[in-house]
Amino acid sequence: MRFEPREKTTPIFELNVMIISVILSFVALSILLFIQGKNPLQTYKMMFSWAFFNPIGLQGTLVKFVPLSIIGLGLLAAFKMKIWNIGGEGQYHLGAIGATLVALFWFPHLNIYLLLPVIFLVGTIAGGLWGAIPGLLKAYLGADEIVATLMLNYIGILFMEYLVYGPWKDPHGYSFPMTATFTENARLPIIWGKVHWGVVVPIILAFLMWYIFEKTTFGYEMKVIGDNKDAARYAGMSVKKNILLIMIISGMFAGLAGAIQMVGIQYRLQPNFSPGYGYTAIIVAWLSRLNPFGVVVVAFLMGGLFVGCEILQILMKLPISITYIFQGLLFTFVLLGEVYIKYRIKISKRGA
Amino acid sequence: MKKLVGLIVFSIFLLTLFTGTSFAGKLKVGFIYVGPVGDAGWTYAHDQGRKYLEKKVKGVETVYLESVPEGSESITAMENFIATGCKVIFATSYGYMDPVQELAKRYPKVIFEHCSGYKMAKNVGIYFGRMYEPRFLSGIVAGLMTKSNKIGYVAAHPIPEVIRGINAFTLGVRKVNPNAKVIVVWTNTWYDPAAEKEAALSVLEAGCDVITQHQDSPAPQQAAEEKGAYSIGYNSDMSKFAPKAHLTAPVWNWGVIYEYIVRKVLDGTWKSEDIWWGMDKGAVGLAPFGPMVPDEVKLKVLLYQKKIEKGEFFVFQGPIKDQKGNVVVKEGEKLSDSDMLKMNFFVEGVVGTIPSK
Repeated sequence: MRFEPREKTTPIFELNVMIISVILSFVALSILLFIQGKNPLQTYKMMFSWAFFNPIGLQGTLVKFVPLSIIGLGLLAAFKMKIWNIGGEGQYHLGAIGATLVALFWFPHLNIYLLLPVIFLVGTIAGGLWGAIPGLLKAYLGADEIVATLMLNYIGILFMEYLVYGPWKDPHGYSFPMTATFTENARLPIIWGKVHWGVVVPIILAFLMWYIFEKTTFGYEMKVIGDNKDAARYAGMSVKKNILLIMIISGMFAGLAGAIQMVGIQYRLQPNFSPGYGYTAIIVAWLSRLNPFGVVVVAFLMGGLFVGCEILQILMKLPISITYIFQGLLFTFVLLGEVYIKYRIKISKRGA
Repeated sequence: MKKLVGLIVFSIFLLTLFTGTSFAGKLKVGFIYVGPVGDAGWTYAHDQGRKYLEKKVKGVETVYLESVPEGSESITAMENFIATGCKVIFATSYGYMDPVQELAKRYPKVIFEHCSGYKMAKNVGIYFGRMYEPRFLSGIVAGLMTKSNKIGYVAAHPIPEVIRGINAFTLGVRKVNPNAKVIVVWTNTWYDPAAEKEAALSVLEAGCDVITQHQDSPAPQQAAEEKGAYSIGYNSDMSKFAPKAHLTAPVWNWGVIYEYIVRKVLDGTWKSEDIWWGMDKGAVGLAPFGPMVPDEVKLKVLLYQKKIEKGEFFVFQGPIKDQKGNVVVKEGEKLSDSDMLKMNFFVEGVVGTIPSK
């Protein structure tokens, strides 16, 4: 068996491969469900109808869609430049910390129309700073960004825990590790059930991202650097500066997501508030084939997958591991599809 | 386009199938867990309680959601229960406290029970177990079994519940062995086998010959087994993980509380209650002793167990001194429930500090 690079591929071909990859992951999961004694088709129907057509399910899907898509858009920017930022989780936590700092300690009494923008701003900056650290390490010291961003996730989460167990602990909270709750002026208005106005942000940001990459020289440079660093350097582009910049932008998105999550639904900082959106967003960005609008669609579907798996636990009595297995299968098949898009697989018999 | 319309119609059809009261006659009860049911610890103990409930009470169907993050997102998870017909919801971690309050306002006909918190409402009851009672008894075991007079405590997060356990344990140790010290090491984890094993090894290397723990993994037990020391488990009987080390373990029997509450719901007499049951009602207890525990130790434990169950002995009864030797509970006084729930100091005999107090 040999792998031969494909010269050129059409978008239609790529899309088809992706769709087939997703279908294959469903087929693989069906085998597992079948072993568990469940009817796969019935299971899938239940998941989809609940996650996208039941009012309660759809609310849950939309709530999860917001952080997944915003972090995903940030990661997409870095991935386009082939900078592997897997620190979304830490940057998300820093954004949440920044939002809490403003809402509870800096300006707790500010008018809502002034307070919310300040919260978004500080959350975004906090996330950006958390992205800047591995950006600096990568650009100027040549450190591996995968390790650096991953490690900073743990530091970010532990820093959040330090705050809620220590200086930020609610003085009236029976010593439980939580901050006080945000006041009404630090909460995003609700549209429907638990769905808040943050739900429109990903769509705006997707347009922004598309504009940056398709219409600005900055975006063009990013793509060139991603394709060939040496060529970019030769053309006079500052690779180091751009690496740092893209890590900051990537972190800013995750930070904004954390801030929106705080004022949109959480209203307080407490340990264990994230189900790992920063990690799931990696899959989201990748499944979208690095297309900003794709991120929005995939994040919505991925949110639905979480909710669908919740209902499977309740109605089908399946364990939560099914969610993790499904995510793993999806990612594996999409990566295999990626290989297929890049290479033609030739099976040649020896001696033939 | 036709396909899409068809899909929507079909989905609405499915909806009517799955929502509503298709489980007629049976009371549907939902459990929301913070960890996986297989953690051998906190969530495992609650899930055993759920199974016990299903076995003991006819006409009840239970469902659960595992590994649900705490905070407001748990609201959407719990709404799934309500939308599928659950009439009673047990929220089994303190981080679900405010989400439960919010949901209770929106769904006044659903009964909520929150574990280990303090906020109640007309349709929200709270429940917990007086774990400090078996903790005290396990302290007696440790105090009598130690030779080095150094006992290790692998502590989880610095919250009142954990601090209360450390203090009750230490009071038990010092009751029978006033020279012994309890050395506390924090892991800041609930379930992280690697970190918890490391922490256990660190106190064992510091000369402790008996250790106990507050986390959900049996890793500290295994560390004691490897080092030839003794250990006391937590949450559930952990003896199978460390047969030579495991002396006993303070354990939860949530099932009796679940049975009590659900029976009340079934016969229509449920009221919002603050349930904090102890050993007398069997909500907490000690796991069976290992073969290495001598009879005189067992007798001593049994003596105090009887006294506690009869209400003749109270664990947090004065005089109790803090680490600096100041009297915090005077002779003849008892700590109130609310003081115990807020506990934020160490008693005399504990070596260690409460981080960022």
